[in-house]
Amino acid sequence: MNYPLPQQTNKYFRSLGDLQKTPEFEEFLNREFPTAASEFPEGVSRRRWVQLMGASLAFGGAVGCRYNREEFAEFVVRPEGRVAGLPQFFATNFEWAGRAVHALATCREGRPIKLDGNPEHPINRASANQDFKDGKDKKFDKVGTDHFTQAAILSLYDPDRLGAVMFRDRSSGSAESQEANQVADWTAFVAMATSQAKAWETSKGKGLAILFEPTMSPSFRRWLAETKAKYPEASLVEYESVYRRNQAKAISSAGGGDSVAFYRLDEAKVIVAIDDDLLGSNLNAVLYARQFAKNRNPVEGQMNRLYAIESQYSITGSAADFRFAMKSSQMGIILDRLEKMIDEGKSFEGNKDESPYNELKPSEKLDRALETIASDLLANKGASLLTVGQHQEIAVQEAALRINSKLGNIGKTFTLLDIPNPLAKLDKLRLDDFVAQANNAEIKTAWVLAPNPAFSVAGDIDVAGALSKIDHVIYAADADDETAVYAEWTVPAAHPLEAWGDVYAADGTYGVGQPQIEALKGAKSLLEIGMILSGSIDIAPSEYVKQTAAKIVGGSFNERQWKDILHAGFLSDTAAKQAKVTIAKEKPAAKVVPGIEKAAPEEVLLGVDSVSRENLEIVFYASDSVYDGRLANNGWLQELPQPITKLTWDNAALMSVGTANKLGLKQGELVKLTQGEASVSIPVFIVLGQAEGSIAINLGYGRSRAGSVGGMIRSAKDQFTVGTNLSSMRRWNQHSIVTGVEARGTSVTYKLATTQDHFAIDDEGGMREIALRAPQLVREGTLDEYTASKNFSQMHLHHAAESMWKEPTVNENHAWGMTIDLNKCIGCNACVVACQAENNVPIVGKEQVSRGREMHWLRIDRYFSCDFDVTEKAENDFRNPVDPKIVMQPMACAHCETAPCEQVCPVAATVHTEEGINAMAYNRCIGTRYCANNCPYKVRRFNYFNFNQKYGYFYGWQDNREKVNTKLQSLVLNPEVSVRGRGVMEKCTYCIQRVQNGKIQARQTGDGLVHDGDIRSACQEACPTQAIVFGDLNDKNSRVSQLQNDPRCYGVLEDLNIKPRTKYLSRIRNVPKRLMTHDQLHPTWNTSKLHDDHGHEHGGDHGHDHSHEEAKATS
Amino acid sequence: MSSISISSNPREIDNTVDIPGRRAPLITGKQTLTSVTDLVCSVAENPQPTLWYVLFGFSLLTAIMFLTCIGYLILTGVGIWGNMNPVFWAWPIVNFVFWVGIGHAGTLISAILFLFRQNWRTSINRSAEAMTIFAVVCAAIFPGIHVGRAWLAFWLVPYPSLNLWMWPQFRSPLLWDVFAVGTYATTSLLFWYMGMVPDIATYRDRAKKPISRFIYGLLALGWSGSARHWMRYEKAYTLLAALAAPLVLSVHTVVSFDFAVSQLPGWHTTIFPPYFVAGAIFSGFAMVLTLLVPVRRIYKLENLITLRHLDNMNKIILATGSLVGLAYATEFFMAWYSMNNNEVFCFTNRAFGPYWWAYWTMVSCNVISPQLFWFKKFRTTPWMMFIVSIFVNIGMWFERFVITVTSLSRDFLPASWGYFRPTMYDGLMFFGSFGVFMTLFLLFCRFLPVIALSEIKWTMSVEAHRDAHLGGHGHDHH
Repeated sequence: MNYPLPQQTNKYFRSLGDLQKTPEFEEFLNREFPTAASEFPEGVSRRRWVQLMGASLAFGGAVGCRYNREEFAEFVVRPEGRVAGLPQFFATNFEWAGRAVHALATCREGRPIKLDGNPEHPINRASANQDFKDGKDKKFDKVGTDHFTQAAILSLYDPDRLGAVMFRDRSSGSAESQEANQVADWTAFVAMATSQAKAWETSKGKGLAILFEPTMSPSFRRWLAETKAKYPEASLVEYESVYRRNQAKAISSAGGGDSVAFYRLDEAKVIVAIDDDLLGSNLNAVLYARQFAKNRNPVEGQMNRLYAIESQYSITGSAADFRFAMKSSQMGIILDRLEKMIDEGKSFEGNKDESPYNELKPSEKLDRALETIASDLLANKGASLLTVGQHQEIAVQEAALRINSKLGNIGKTFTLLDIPNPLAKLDKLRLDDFVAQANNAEIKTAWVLAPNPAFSVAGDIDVAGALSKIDHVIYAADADDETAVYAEWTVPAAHPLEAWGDVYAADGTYGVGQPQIEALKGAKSLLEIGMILSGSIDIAPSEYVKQTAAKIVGGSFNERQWKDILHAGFLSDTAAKQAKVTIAKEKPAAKVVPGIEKAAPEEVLLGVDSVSRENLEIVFYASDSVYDGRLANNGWLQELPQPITKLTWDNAALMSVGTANKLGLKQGELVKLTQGEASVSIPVFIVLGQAEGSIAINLGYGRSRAGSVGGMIRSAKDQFTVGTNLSSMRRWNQHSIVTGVEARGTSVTYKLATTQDHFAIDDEGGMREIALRAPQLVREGTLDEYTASKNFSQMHLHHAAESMWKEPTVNENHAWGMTIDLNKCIGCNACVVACQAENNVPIVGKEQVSRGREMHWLRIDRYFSCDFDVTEKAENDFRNPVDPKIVMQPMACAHCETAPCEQVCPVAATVHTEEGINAMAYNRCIGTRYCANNCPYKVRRFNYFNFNQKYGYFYGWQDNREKVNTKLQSLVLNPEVSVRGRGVMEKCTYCIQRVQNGKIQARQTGDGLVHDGDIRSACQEACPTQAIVFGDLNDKNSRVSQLQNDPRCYGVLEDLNIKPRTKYLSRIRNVPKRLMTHDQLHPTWNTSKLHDDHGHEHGGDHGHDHSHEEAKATS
Repeated sequence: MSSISISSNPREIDNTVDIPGRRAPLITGKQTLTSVTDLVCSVAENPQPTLWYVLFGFSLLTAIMFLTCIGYLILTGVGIWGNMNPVFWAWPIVNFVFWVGIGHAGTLISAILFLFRQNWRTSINRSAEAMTIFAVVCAAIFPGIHVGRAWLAFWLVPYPSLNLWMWPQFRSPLLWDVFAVGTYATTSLLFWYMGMVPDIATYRDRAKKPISRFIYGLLALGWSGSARHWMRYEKAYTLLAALAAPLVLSVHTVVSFDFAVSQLPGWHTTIFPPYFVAGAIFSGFAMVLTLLVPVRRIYKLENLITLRHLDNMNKIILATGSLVGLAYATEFFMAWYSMNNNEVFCFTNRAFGPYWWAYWTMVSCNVISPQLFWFKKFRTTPWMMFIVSIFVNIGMWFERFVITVTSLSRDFLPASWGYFRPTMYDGLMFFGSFGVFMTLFLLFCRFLPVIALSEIKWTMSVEAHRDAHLGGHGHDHH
């Protein structure tokens, strides 16, 4: 297929400044969109939109739709099985925020509105949960995703995405001046690229640099390799905004070659995560969480054990059975000590009368923890796993490899896969050399095929400056961003859902990504832009990907196979083999371990006494919300409460209470952090459990040209930013951990918006109460406690509470209910965004969040729990509890049987359905908000403003953008769920639209019965650990009823006699005896203490007087 | 009219003490029936003092500002207030309860004191009733605009709807509120107006301008003062009083149900009905004082609204203030005695949590400041009682704030705790409601009889009758 030839002269060469505020601009923008995109929102021809997009989708599997635009036609005959109004599902694969995503996209009338995991994908099948081995698993075996994937759909409809090819004449005016901006079009760009490509051929690419990110896409890798072969003199510059190369380097130096590490957490009985957020920020986190949860059923001998030693409280730390906080820069010492203990091979037995863990001094605690970990590792050789965070130094990575090798874990829990990578052997130019060469004018042209390097690269190498010295910079951009300012040509890069692509899964399985919609903004994928640049315009990207697939299949490859790959989303049996390598067990001689504090190399500095104002460490993390900043314009992610801090719309310097007190810093105070020449001012956020002397900060904030959500600085007057830019503090050769930092308070306060603990941390009384209540709300026990008394988490009332009134009659057919297994929930936030995407939940902006008006139907409550007695004895101040533990609890409407909200609504707007769902009639609601007051869970959400229109999904009110943008963003809406206006209460409906669809489907296509697993709520579908189970309580064999009869099952605030339908399974910590706290060793005392709310509670041997009718099974 | 005799020294007779055997006079200054008529009518007939114009101008502007705010609110959304999750109810509801509470004194004075033949009520009942009506007007505005979709607030009313075929939800205390406040407003208005008919007739008869004669004539409903009229009037008045008397208890009881029926710690308590009624009477009397102390001074009504009246009201304030204090203590006791952690925390949090300042403002104003009324000096010195009454008003507003906001801000799940901060609009609209209230009250002073003329004349005759029989007889006259 050929590109359309240039037919028109560049009549759009007009300055943006002229255009911006004129009606023509609006019209122009309208035209800039593909026909359909601008037609549908006008409300004129929705039918035509449906026709066009339906057609685009139907043919999408077979043809590169972009090239066939003129052929899109309405259906003359309806394709068999296609019913207008019913969603369609397509498998696809893509890279997103550095992660490989294997997704199933839900498309409605040709527009994708939801992404979920592809359950058929082999990598997911391999880690399928085996809770219920009766064959019903498959329906439940939804893989889940992460919150980035869930939010990807919103980025697709982002109006701030670049809508046209831009040309900046850099000879006139300054780089930043708007006047220099020109709007060009693709034909001009293609013409330019084609003529240049010929020139490169003659010069063999001398003076050409190609910037790209590490990629798992075989086609893109192939293109890079081919281009390098075509232009041998060209330089490939691979750079990472979030540096993760150390592990690969360590593997290679230990003899592992180019193999890729892949953990098998499901094979490990003991997992030790050293400063490694395996379940949260790891690129394979979704898979690892799934593997981790597979062995999380509290059956003796089956349950794994997770140790975490880390500086920042991470998701992994909160999920861990045992966590220890210490500085990231000291992990090397820990590994040295562990390695010595493992070399000695001696396991440590505690004596009977040694004091409980929590009564030890900090250094004794570390000793005992290390002894226990070493003994546990030795006892589980080949079934244990020790991982270190990818931001740790090479020497630390090497130590971890050696320990795993010594334990015989390599090849079992720590596998090294041989994933083909044609780039591995190619010469690449280091980023600093690239900058140097650019400054020496050795580079004439740069193709920037990576998102926004001018923003995301560490500040001590000036990528922006380098780019500005290069004559021709061609940049494939998501938006007119920080890097685009320095580019001559800025071309719009497609969203992965608009483009052909492919990706290797973590285990090497090949998968193809197919477009779900025609490029809304006329963008093209990185691969395609690259192909245009390298002059390969005679082949369409779909063909190129197909060729890659053919090469991977090898031998014959026919259309049928290709269709199968597209349909399934993967090529079966392509998982990579384990590399035949041996990892050296010997420590390289006399190698200085960098990154260790020079002052006391052999001693770990613990406790607040070791903190000094001048010697702090900062650890930079990719943000849980905006990754490295590329997702900054995604409102769902910006407003997503970060898992531990619950902070939204900002990054902050996280530090412990002790450190903050020692430095004299207050919550929200701007602190000036200085190291050498570099310094940054950033607000303080005090969080429990952070290692003393360690400061954790998220990257990706402080963007100046992200868009109307993520920050935009147009002029001194017209600007706003989200969070603080840290690039000045980062050192490109000292990637994430910066030591020797000095902190000075500025006594300037900064407003931070959190969704939890708006103030509580300063308030001793409140903190004490939280410490008292948390164990009642999130019940937990040790595995020993559970084994001794399975129903330890039940609350026993001496007399059954009676209902004030007749309970609503419940249909015999169904009684919907939900359980959430807190032993599996890791608090990853995927469900929160999934709910937002499914139910059209708007965002409200930082100001409204700080007013506590966030709209999330599902939130994750995070509590710090501590050994109450010990904290009282040791500190007598609950503002800084001893050894705080984190427990997570997803909280949404519990659909109480005797719902307190229903009884107080004066207009009967919230009522019970016959199937037990507490429903909202939005049309009837007048917004008295009484229901919300009376809801003990406070899960009801009120539209204080017209959040949907005024604030919108994209926070687009910031600059009153063109109407067409509002309409574009509204394409993300799920047509099955009402969009709520202002003044109306809303809340979780158990995804009632899915329930209804399930019933309709059962009537139409099934046997008329809804079977267990047919209906899954959005949160359940998104949960990587399958902690959430939804189903019919009337069906005694359903998974949810079995779980509700589990002895671990309890209802939150059950004592109010509201009979919640959503129940929780208590959390079981598999804590080794020697690391148990006093409370954990003496659970009976604990239980009675927790329940003294009722005065009559007793732990241990009970089994009578249940508070509800359903008898609890005790085994 | 020239013969109005005003006692220059209100203390010429100490009418604040009931001497056994000799009742203190209800009015002073040797009033005759004519002088009383002249005195009261002069309020409306004489040109208003400059102060009236200043106050009225200011109040009117404030009221207009309030209406503008309401317009903005309806156009924009209730988010302009500080309400948040979990404090879904905040200032508007506080204001509502505050104004409803104030509205209590009127009916208490006019109905209950009437039924108990407390003749001292006659000097103050008219203005107290007016105050009640205006307070209820202010109160009714708030829940109406507080709902998220104010234009649909009428759905709270049970009307037969053709396209819905549904009634409101009768289990909801908010619906009971509609009935309770609605009934209260209607009855109070009727009571007030009916009681005013003979006096309006007096105004009609004295009116000089045809327009005012016409309007007063219209309002007087053809009252001629015939014996038949009087007979029917008194019957009706007694009946209405009997009807209104239970309302004094019911309105605030029902309002308290808004809180007590919910299950929120700090709201869910059986003490609320009596506690709220006591508080309402407390605040109502304080507001009557706040209004009458300046009014009697400005319009020179010291002989009609005497220190004895003020003294009596102060005694009621002292009694109800102490009741309220007892209620506060009982709440704490119950929290402790129930051994319910949520309750215990709720109350310790009130007193020592982030809202401690509100709690202690409430206690100092409501419990401590009325205790000054144990001293006669405070009960009989107008400026002192004026200050105390202001404190009580402040304290009672804070009481509602403490109940509403502190309970909501920290309920069952610590994860959803929040801290409420009001916005500018919260302040403006609370202030604005005073504008509406004062505008109406000033218009009332300007155009309607501020003192129940006919009733006061009746008590005069009773007193005269009693005085004539003094010495030896001593039997009880009413």
